[in-house]
Amino acid sequence: MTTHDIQEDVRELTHWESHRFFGLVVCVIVIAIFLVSVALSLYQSSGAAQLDLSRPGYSDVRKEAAQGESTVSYPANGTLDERSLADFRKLYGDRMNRATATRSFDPAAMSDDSLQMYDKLDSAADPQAAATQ
Amino acid sequence: MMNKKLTSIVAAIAVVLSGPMVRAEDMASYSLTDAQISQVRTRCVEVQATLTRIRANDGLRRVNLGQQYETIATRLMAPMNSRVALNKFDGVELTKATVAFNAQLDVFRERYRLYEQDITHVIDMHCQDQPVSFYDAVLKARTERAAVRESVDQLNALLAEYNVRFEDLAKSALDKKGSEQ
Repeated sequence: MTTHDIQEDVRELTHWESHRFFGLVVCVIVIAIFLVSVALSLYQSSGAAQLDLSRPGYSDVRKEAAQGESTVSYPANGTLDERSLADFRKLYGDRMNRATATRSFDPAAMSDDSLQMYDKLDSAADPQAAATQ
Repeated sequence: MMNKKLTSIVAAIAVVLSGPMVRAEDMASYSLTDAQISQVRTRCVEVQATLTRIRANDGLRRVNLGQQYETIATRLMAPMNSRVALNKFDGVELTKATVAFNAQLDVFRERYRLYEQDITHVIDMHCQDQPVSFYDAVLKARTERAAVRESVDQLNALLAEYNVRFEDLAKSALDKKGSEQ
């Protein structure tokens, strides 16, 4: 194959063939953007985002998240005698008390008074009272 | 001609149906006085900072409570129901309570998701440019948060109900053992 032949081949290359590396890079980027979009939408819609304390704004409370809480379990097999019932009563009671001990999502925390949105001059000017009437 | 009539009838019905809802939702901000709107505009950045702290604390509560509820449902209730069935006791009431608890757990997750979206929207708003919309958004987030609270109350009530059902079953199981001996 002479140099002339090679030059002829190069001339015959189509526009796409001469830019295929660039095309490949663009395709890879498009596919990556698509897959990241799918992943992010699943992250949002599945509720995983709400459990993710590594997001910005949650750094103060991250360390307070309970660690190693899920080790407790009750065997599904076995008899139902006094001892096994007492074991369950203890495990369940502990967990129930822990779950119900704190008053979570107290409405008072987000009231107009707590947020100090505006000064209440009198009850008639209170928009919340007006809305409920 | 006929199409125009039909369109106007549909539009009229839509206006009638949506009217009361729109009014109910916006009633609070309509009744804000000019002075209050001005105060909301002045203070809203501080309010957003407070809401950021509330959101962080709520996120922590959501994670911790979710873990507690998941553990109870999957590691205590489900195995106990299996054991009751294996020992041929009547576990219908326990199973019913478990099903109700799991359904309410799904409601809790969904309500928290909606609340989290709303409060994030409030925190990200340009509140000084739109104080009335900001106030409305705070009211909406507050309503969603109250719904989460209601869900937590119901979950706690279902935990107590399961406990009562368990004690009934324990009593009948021990009575049965005693009568067999």
